[in-house]
Amino acid sequence: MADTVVETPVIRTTGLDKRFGRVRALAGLDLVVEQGDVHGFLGPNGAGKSTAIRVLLGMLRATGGEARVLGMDPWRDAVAIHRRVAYVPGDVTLWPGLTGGEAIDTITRLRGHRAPAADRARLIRAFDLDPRRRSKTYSKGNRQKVALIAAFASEADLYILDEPTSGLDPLMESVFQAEVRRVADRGATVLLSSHILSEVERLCSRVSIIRDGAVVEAGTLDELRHLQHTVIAYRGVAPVGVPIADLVVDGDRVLGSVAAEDVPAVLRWLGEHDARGVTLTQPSLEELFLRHYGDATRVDRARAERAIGERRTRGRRSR
Amino acid sequence: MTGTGLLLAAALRRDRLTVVLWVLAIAGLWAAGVGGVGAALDESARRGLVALLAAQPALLLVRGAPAGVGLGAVVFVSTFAFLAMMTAFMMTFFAVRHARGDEDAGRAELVRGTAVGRWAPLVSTLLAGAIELLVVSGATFAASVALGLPAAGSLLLAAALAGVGVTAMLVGLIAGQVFPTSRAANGAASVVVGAWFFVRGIGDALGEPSADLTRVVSAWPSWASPIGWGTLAHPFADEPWSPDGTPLLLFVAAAVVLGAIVVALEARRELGRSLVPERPGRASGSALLGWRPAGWPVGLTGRLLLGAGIAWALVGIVLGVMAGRVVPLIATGLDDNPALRAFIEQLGAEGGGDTEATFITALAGMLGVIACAGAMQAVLRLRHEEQAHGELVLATPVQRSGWLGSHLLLGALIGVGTLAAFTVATGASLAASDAARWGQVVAIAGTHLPLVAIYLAVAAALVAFLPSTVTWLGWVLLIGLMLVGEFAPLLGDAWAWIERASPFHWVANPLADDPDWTGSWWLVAIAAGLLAAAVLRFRHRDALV
Repeated sequence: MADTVVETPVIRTTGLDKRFGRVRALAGLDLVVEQGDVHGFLGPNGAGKSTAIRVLLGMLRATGGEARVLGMDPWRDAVAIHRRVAYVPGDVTLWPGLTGGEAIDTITRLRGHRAPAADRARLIRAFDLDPRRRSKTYSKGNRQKVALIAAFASEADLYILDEPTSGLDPLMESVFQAEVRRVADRGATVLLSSHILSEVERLCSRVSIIRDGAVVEAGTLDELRHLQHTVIAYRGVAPVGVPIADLVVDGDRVLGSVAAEDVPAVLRWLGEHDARGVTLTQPSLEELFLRHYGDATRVDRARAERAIGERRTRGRRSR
Repeated sequence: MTGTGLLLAAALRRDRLTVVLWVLAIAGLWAAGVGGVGAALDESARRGLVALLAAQPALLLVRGAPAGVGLGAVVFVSTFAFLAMMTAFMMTFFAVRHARGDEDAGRAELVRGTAVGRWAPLVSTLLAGAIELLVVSGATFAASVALGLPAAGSLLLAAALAGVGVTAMLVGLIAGQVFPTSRAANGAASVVVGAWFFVRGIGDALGEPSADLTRVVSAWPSWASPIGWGTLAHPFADEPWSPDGTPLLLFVAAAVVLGAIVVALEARRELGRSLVPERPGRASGSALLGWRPAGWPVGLTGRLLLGAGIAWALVGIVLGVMAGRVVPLIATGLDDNPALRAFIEQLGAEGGGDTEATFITALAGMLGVIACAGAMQAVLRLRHEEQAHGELVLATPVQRSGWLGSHLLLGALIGVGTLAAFTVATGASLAASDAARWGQVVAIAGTHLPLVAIYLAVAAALVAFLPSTVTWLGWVLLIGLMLVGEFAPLLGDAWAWIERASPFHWVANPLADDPDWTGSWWLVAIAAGLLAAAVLRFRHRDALV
């Protein structure tokens, strides 16, 4: 994969559309995943994440727009693409009569790009899986582990992981993160659909937020944060002539938000006016996420809770 | 027992459509038979039909032992074995669906987490089964009386169906307790029901016909089969015999014994467990599992269908051995009865084969249906695989058409293998088998190959075009058309067209002097067309994941 030209993105969709009867699951999805990125794919349930992934894997045929995966058409060249892809579905169902170990080998052999046996053994140890048990007896987390081991025991160029850690315990979560870093260091590209924002913040270099079948925000985490206002809280006089928005004044407690480029000016003004207990809070991914879920009150509450603490929020809620 | 009432209501509500379909099939077949035979055959025609039946072991095997020439007696001997088998399947499927099936799907866990007593699921299942059975046998009774048959005989008929049904339900429950998956439990219970049919068939085929060929005294094997108990009650027998409910008491004994086993197992069993223990398996898969020549995942599909394939082949071997062992007995029986022998040889000349060959053909006809079932099941399995594992398999370099192809290949192997197992077992176990007989057995089995092709294609088309209805429609097309072939002649000329729509109608007669293969070639051609359309569609539709 070293010879792949870096300019072509690994995944590029333009205006991708997918209808199921009257339901429009994808509505002009523009997704770009660059070579070597760990790309976070965020969105609420039913936003179209899994549908998008299934179109990218050639399981569903798009009703409009264009998609290229590894430079190929996912519907026509599905098999060629699959030779270089490892996929972990969101809901893993295994063959009940096969053991976990057999399921892993079936998947990796079908893919055809198996990692050395030592990798497989290491992964089974790290994920703490008993490969001799029949898949029927596995819990949700164990089934997920089988799919993850089968993915990381494959030497793929592109890893597509659909909410891969939803059934894992926190210990396994860290094993998972280490594996994602390992394949990323090797130069592979990862598309990680997830609900766990801390996981995305820790792993992903770029993020796309999808809602109602379209990408509503995309970029690096820093870029996205930049678009958002910083939350400011202090004790002192109410601001006059400075660009603080969403102002809440309660006695000498002041709460508001400031655009990123205005932060230095606001800080100078606060210094001149003896403000005490100044806190500036970067918007978290959760806030970005909630913002695009369209639930502004919840966003404000989340920000307020973080900025002013529990006592005040209790008062606000009871209002 | 807390919650039994609620669970009972839920079970009945869930099955309301299924029960209607079974009533239509079972009571409907009985009513159609009574109406059709009543309209088409007068007393002398019925006498001729019964004489034919009594004289021909092949017919005794497939239909049953006659007990008189009255309307009720003739329809009973023509249909009861099938009515009983349908009732039995209705109840084994019911039992597995409500017990092991619910545990498989995780619903049982959800239910048992609520305020529901330990025994409530089992008791409500038994009650629901009894009620559904009552509906089906009650409708049969009502139809029978409404069409003018004696009430006493109709009651015995309904009781016999209910007895078979209860026994089958308990067998289904035990199968669900013993086997770890509903697929395995359904398979095992179906084998038991099939054995009931064939054991009774042997008993009747080896029976002793009366001198006037109006009745046959079944041999002892009929007493070993619950379906046989129903036949032996002779609900519509006429002089010198009379209807006799005593054999039905055996159902009570069977229900007590099987019921005790169900209760004993349930008391010891934990939720989701089976008697067949889960042993640790291999920690790694063989290279064969991932074998996918040209994108055909033959290794995985083969592994998934291996157990079923062995089971179908065993059925073929057992039936073949049966044919090989029973045929000489029939020949001996005929040697003792020169008048009968003369009658049969006259019949045989018309049909184009001797008694032995006709008997083998009849068994092969049954086996042909079984081979089609095996082949179709292998392909229909793809629907389940697609839904359950499609995301895993279709994200690998497996070709869509190759995936379907691997199921078609295995289905063809299972269908042909079942027929081959039967052929070899029959030929090898026939004591006096010479080259000519071998050739005949091969030809008899070979005539069913086009049927296997048709049902492979039908299954593929269902998976490709109608994936949401796939399983039940396939079985309706197989069992329904088979029944049409069996019963259309009884229903008169008005139904001739439906018989011609059935692929079974077009199977060549291998015993004729100059077999006509045109129908077979048409079947193969239709199968090829259907297959091509199915492959194209399966490649071009969205995967149902």
